[in-house]
Amino acid sequence: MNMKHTSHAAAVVLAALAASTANVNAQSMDYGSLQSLFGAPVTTSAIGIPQRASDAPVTMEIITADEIRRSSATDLSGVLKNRAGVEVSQWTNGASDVAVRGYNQGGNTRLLVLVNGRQVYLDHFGLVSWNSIPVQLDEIRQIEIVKGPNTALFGFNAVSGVVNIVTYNPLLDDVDKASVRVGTQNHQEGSFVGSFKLNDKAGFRISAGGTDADAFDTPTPVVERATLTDYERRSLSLDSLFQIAGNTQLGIEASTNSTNDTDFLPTMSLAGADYETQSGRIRLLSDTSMGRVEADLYTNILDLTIATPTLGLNIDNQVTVFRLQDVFKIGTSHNMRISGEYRHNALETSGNNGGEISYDVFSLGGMWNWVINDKFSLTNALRLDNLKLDRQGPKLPAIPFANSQYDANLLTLSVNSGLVWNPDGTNTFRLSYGRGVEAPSLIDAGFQIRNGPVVLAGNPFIDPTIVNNYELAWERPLAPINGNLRTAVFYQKSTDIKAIGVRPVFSRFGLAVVSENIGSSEMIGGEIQLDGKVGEHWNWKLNYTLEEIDDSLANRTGPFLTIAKEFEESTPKHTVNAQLGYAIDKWEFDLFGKYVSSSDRVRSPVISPVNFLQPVDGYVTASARVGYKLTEEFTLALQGQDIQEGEMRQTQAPKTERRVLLTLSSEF
Amino acid sequence: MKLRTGLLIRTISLLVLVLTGMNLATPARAQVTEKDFQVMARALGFMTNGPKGTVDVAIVHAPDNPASMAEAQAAQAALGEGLKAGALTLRPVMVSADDLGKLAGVGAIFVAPGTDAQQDAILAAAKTSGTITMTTDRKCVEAGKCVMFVATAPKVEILVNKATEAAMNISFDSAFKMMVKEI
Repeated sequence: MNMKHTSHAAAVVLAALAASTANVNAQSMDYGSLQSLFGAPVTTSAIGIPQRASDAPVTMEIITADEIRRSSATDLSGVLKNRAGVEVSQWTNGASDVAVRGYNQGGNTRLLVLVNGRQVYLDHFGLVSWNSIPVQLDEIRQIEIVKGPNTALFGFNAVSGVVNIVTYNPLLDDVDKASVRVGTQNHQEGSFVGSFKLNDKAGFRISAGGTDADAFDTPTPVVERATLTDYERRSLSLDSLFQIAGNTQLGIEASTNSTNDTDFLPTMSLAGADYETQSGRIRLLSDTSMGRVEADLYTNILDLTIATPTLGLNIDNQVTVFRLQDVFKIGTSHNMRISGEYRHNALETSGNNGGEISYDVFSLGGMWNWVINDKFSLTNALRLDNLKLDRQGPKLPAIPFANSQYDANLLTLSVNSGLVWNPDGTNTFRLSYGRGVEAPSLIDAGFQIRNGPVVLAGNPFIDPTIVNNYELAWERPLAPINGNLRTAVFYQKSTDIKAIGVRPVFSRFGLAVVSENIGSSEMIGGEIQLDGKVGEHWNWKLNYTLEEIDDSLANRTGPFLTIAKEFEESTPKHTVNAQLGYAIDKWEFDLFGKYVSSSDRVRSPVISPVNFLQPVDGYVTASARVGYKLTEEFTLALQGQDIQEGEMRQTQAPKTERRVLLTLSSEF
Repeated sequence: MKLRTGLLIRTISLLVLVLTGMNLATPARAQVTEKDFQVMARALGFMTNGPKGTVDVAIVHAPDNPASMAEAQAAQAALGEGLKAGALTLRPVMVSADDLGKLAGVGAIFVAPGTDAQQDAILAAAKTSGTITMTTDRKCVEAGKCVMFVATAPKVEILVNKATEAAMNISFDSAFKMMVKEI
């Protein structure tokens, strides 16, 4: 793409906005003040406008900073794993995939993950490397989980859900924390978060963290043992916000992260992975007479090296996004959001054969939230994406497509609609529909890589996966338990599911296996959650999730699967999470239990068309944290994960090990 | 499709029956509380060019109306020597609806219920100084005599009269306005 033109256009828009904001008010979201005012979690992740989570027309959850602090987890994916409808597959020490509403797999491509609205999933394939996200747990204000497709608001990848990580505001919040952690697997970790301000006109928050830990030493197929990599993470992030006018703020962010771990690939095999990521971002936020306007320009750079027994792969990916949105209110009952977005996503393959596959996406979206009366509100959102694919440079001889055939054009429509009925100020019912679009990734559509004697080839004619979701939800506070009830039932159908390495194409140059759409899959499910408090000291939470999937995939031949995609048998049907917390004086005790029913999960120790189903028995696992406040500044915490057994099988990857960690943290 | 829809529907239906059968009645509204004023103070923090620091709040009441007097006294007790919430500290100043000259210099006005006959005069006085009027009497906002109504049970509810707000040249942060009800 022409980066120079994009930057120029962005600068012009930013300048125009800055000039149009005289005599108006406020800017970035003040989550803290709004939550204190309404006494309830506040979100912008549901439909792009600030609202109480209970008023949102989608099923969602908010994990607070206090819940993060009291969890047994030491990383982002661990924080998510006790939530209803969220499945975390921990593949190795340091690598996990997270799915909302089932369909988890190595390199899950159905989840959109954001940090303050900036995408942090990796856009060459649409997967998430959770420890590559340049955030320390101590700087997170809340994590918002939106369940179900939401691409009409956020764009591609938000097909099964959205995880928006909201950090403290550098201009409004003071956060100064440091911690050191040691534990089993030779775990050593340090973390620092600091903030400072200049005359209330400039706020800065800097965070840094590093972790080293051994890989799990559980039985691993011989062919994969050489790929096992110890876990190492280094992360640095700067977030700043400047009050450049009474009603306008300028945000500048930068981050870098280096993570080595043993990944579980979409081919269902282990591989050593080295992720090097950098990002830069500039935002202008202004409360104008035309509404709350935000201009956002950012770029994410990825340098990924993957090593398997048959494949050495280097991926250089850069995505640049420019987004302009306006949120405004018409009259007393119509909240509106209009947005435009340009995205350039490029994947170089120079480490392999040369050439670049890229696409440009132009998007236009609109959201209309109509507060009909005290009892009803209706929200509708549409988004149109126009994707233009392009490939330049040399190609591998066995690839069955000419470069000109990669000049594909894709026009997609995403829809979200939700009716909220609040009949009595207490009960809330939601009826919602979402049509999510999972666009082909650059790997799906045009990557080329030699894997032993075979060439893996992207397919420029592959269709996007479409996910239609229908949902009914009910929630209410429950005074008798001093808590809340939340329920949801849903039906979801995914059509044109994509897979890499599917269709063999023989030529005199060799064998290429091409990405294809492989069929559809339906899911029906439900979740129910109760939480409550007993007296001043006790709190508890209990949730159950049902996910039942029926695949119609062109996959099975005899005892093996030809494609590393299978959801019906690999998604556990029943999951139960329970947690119990007790806090008194300087002590905090938290216990987390989890039951996951049995499943048969796809496995392939080497990248090949011969995949098998690995039985994974139902299991119960427990985690815990005990915290003791030594002084006003220092806290000592003992955390244990999967503590009931020395090692246990939770996925088709090698067994996980018990982890016990001791953390000394300081708030200054 | 071989999905167990029957089981799911039966389970959900049972839960609905059990839970909707529980005694979960909403409590009747009581007099103004400390919590109501905490919400008012935090709401004032979202005003453009709103009051800062320690704010004198006029508690305007009708002295010959026992209900109004009781509400005013409850408000005075709730604010005590000064109630801190967010960046503001609210301090009570008792003002009779018959003596609105005492409104000069206050940062906000709390209009106690039972002042219906004086609300036109209170609004006029508030307009003169551009001082926001707040109440726990919904009718005052619905009639356009007060800017903001606040309730805190069963959950926080804020109602803003847009026309009155504009007439008094008062404005709020747009995020705040999207989260409250406007008429």
